[in-house]
Amino acid sequence: MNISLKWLKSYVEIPKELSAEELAERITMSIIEVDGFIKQADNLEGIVVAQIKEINKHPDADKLQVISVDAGKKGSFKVVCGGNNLRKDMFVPLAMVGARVKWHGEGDLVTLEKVKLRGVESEGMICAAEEIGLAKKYIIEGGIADLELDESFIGKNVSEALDLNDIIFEIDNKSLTNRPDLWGHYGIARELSALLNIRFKPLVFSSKLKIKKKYKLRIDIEDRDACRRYLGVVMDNIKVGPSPDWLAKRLESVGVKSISNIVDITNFVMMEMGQPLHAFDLRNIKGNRIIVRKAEAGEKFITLDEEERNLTTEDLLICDGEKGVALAGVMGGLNSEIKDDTTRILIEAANFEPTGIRKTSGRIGLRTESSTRFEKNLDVNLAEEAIKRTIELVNQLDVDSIIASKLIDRDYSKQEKIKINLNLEFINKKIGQVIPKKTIINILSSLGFGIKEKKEELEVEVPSYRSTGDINIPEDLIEEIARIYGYDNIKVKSPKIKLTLSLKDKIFVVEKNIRDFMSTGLAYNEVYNYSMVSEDDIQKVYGNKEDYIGIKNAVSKNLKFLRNSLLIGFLNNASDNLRYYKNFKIFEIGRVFNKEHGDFKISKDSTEFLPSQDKMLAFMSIGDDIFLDFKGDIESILNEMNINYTSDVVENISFVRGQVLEYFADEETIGVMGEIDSKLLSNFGIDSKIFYAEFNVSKFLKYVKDSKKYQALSKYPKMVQDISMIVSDSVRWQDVEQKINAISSLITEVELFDIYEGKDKDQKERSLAFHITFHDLKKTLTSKEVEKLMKQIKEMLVTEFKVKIRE
Amino acid sequence: MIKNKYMKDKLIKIKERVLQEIKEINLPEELEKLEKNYLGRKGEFTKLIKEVKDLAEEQRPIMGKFANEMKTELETAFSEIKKNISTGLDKTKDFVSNFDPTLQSRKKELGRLHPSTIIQNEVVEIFSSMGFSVLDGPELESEFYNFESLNIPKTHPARDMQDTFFVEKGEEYKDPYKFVMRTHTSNQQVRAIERLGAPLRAIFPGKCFRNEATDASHDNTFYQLEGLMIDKNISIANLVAVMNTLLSRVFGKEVKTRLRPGYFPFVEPGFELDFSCVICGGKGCSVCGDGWVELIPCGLVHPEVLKAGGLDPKEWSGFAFGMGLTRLVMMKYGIDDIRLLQSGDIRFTKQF
Repeated sequence: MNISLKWLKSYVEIPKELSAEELAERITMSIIEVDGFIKQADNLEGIVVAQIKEINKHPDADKLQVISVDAGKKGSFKVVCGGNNLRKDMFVPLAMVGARVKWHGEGDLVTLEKVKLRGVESEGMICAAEEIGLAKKYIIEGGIADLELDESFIGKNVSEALDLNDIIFEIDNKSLTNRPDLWGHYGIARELSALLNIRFKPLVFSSKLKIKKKYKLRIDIEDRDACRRYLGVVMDNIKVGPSPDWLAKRLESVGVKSISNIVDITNFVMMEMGQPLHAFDLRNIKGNRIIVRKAEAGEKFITLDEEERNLTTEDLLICDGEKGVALAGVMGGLNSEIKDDTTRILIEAANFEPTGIRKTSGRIGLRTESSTRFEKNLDVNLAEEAIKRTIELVNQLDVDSIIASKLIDRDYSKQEKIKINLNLEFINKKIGQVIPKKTIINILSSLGFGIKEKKEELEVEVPSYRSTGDINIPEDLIEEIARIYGYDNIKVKSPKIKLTLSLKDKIFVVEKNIRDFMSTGLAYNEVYNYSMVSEDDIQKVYGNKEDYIGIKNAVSKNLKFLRNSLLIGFLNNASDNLRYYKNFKIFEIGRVFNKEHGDFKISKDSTEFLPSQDKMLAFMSIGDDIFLDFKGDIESILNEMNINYTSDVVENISFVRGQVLEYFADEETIGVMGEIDSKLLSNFGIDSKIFYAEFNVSKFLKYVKDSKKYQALSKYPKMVQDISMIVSDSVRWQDVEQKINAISSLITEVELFDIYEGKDKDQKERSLAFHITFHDLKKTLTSKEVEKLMKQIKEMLVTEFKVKIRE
Repeated sequence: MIKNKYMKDKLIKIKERVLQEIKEINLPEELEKLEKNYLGRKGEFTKLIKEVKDLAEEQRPIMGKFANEMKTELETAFSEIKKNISTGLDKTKDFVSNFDPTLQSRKKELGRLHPSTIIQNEVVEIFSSMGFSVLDGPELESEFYNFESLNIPKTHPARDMQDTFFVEKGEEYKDPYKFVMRTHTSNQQVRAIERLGAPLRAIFPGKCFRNEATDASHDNTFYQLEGLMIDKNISIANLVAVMNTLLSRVFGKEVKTRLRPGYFPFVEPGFELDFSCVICGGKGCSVCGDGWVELIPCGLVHPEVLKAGGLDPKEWSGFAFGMGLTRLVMMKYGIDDIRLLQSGDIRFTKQF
């Protein structure tokens, strides 16, 4: 929303010494957020009033002319121009070299330079209204702005000559969400009077209207929840025409187009008081009758912007005796708009329920100045003040106009008077500082609150324009006091509290340890992926849609389902990163979602639980010959977490080629690891080898032990022996290792150091070589003992696994 | 004469032997021992020198001078080698002359943490040190905790379909609340109060979701860090004190902050806390615009929220804040496209 400083000054006298910057800051710090401000004069810098002295044809271009202008003290200039309305002695805006203009009124501002146009040098530019942002009345199709001034203005800046020295503040609409009273200049002026401690000049309305009753107006509200109040009045003897200068200028200064006097007045009152109004041509209101009702399903209605709208039973429609005439709170109808020959009008000021307006404007995708205001829940009393203000302005502007019907007021609103008891001690406790009672009273009353002083309390009456849901409880008043008092004036104070132990959920501790170890320890790069996946992705991993929780209202097809594994994100990451790297390792910790119920309660008293959303750790390695390293990474992380785990081969895991290894802690599955199926990979455009592991952190959390115990260091030496053997490729190393370990507790490590598979693919054997470490913590092992154990091992290998020992 | 010749030979022999032995020495203590054995008070060389005084008178000055020369030579050798031994260098051995120390190193492949992880760790650490608990909570949430318990009425725009991801709910559920992807970490406020009661100091970092189109500065996924402090007599002045401490620690220097009105249904009064841009020093730049960075929406906990958590607002008060972690990350590292954070691009991660 745009707010004009000059306009504000109609209601408050803002001290002159306050700069625009300072004022913007004060408003931001205590009222609403100012995004920035524009000084009208800034954009007109270097643009002066000049008089045309001579018009000559351009020697080389039919459509161009060479103009000599006199800019008084600024000098005389020759400019090339294509305007179609140029005449001698005309007063025009001259943009001198260095000034900024918008070519043909479009695009960004461009700084003017001296240029040659078809061989003739132009020492500046005489401008059309659109090119320098002048008001509508200066706009001439294909022509240059005719400033209609006199000689005394020659050489003066256009901003000065046309009195364009306003400052326009841009207010962030989001900061106005809960302040329906601030959607116009009047409300902001009221706040400024409290903030700057200056006098506020309220609008006064004559209580009696001079009515010459010519028409009987009938208004019926069918849906009294949706339309809480509706005021209507007929005015006659209207002459529709252009607005007077002051009115057009006011509106244009805040970015509202001037249309005609009547429409401009309704817009003016909206920008002044925040109440949207509408004027109908009474000729098109059948039966002088208004009915406010919900639209019928499929009812069609053409709005002022000439768009046909399909309505539903949720949309509120203003109708006459026969048809819809306005889409309530959003936009008027084309069928009853004010035309040049309109002489009788019906003025509407209403109060609509905000949610309905928001839904309608959201559904049809039409957000207007009007709907934006109604959405905020306007004060029901504002409609009455606004219609009176409108009548007054129409009378003022058009002295022949008369009020030709009773002012009908259908008021079904239930806005209650709010009284709040405010304890003074409570204020000081909440703010953290003592604020004198006098200051408190002063602040609240200048904001329009009624105050009754009691002993240690104030009885505060909330004005109707703040009784819109904005102020209900003492805490709401604390905000009023503190913000006007100035948050900057509150002295910062550390809280005084009892020393208590804090708690850190174990998952955060474990997650951090994993992350640190995965990155610096195992050289994995961390990635974050979206929690949503597309149906396409699910198909690519041969998943079943039924296993995924759906999003009901995703804006994009990529966000239709919640991931139930981190795999999809990783495959997309792999595909993307393979463009830059051949080998890489990535990991992620994140939640995945499953339909089974998890551990988080739905609500305070519920006995049901939200869908399961465990945190998973996934990691992936890409490259050749990575399997043994990858498996080593998994074991390192599990050992680092101090988890007592086992692993076993399983089959039939969807994403994997062949066999996977499943990891267990205390017989509960905590993770899986395997090589990703190549067909699946090809769905993601990948032809590298990828190993992938996914562990359930939420599950293995309980197996993470933080206790470690020291074991005495042995004084006795270890002995290492090697075995090399040929074994069938159906024998699994894990079994071999287990059997060897089972032979004696003196065997402390079995380490495979060489695997030779031979080049012949049909060969069903491989050669394995490994070290066996023997260690007795209590004495030095003799070679005899070791030899005996070695013999036992070899015999076991031959009988159990049918191996050939190579001596 | 004979004696003289004999002595001269002896001195030379000893000297050469010592020089030879010095070469084989690696440790300072060995060297010390060697020096003592020869040049010490009872050392072999010293003893020999002492014999000079037994020579014929005319021989004495000649031999004396010679012996001293020998001694100086040895002492020089010792002090030379001492220097080398004490720096650990072995300069007596031949140096490989074709060794090129400027050869390119073998690059170590290291893994990197995501920048959001790094910043979250930092902030969590700061709050932990101030005695805040760190609590976990769900990302798929019920409307009760995400909206209802936070005094956000059914008609509030935030509950419209266009802002929030609504999630399919299994038919087996009897509970009336709809399921959503949490729109803020504030969903854990009432969960935390229910779990730990008051007094309470806790933070909840995590992933949040908004159902909106993405561009360089908006994403449907972002990270927040919510904080809640409930005690007796918590005031606006306290809130600012804690926030100032936090920001000063994050940026490693005093940071100027300002509080201005902001509206959030679950706090009253509600504020936007801005801090003076650390990039331009508050002068205004492309990152901050006018010198202030909007980072922490906050306020005093609304009495309705305390009630929802089962606390009596007459007895307890508190403040809550929701810091934009993603925003902080972008600010701290100068990241200009929010989508990079969820891109999984290693070229990006490797920079942190």
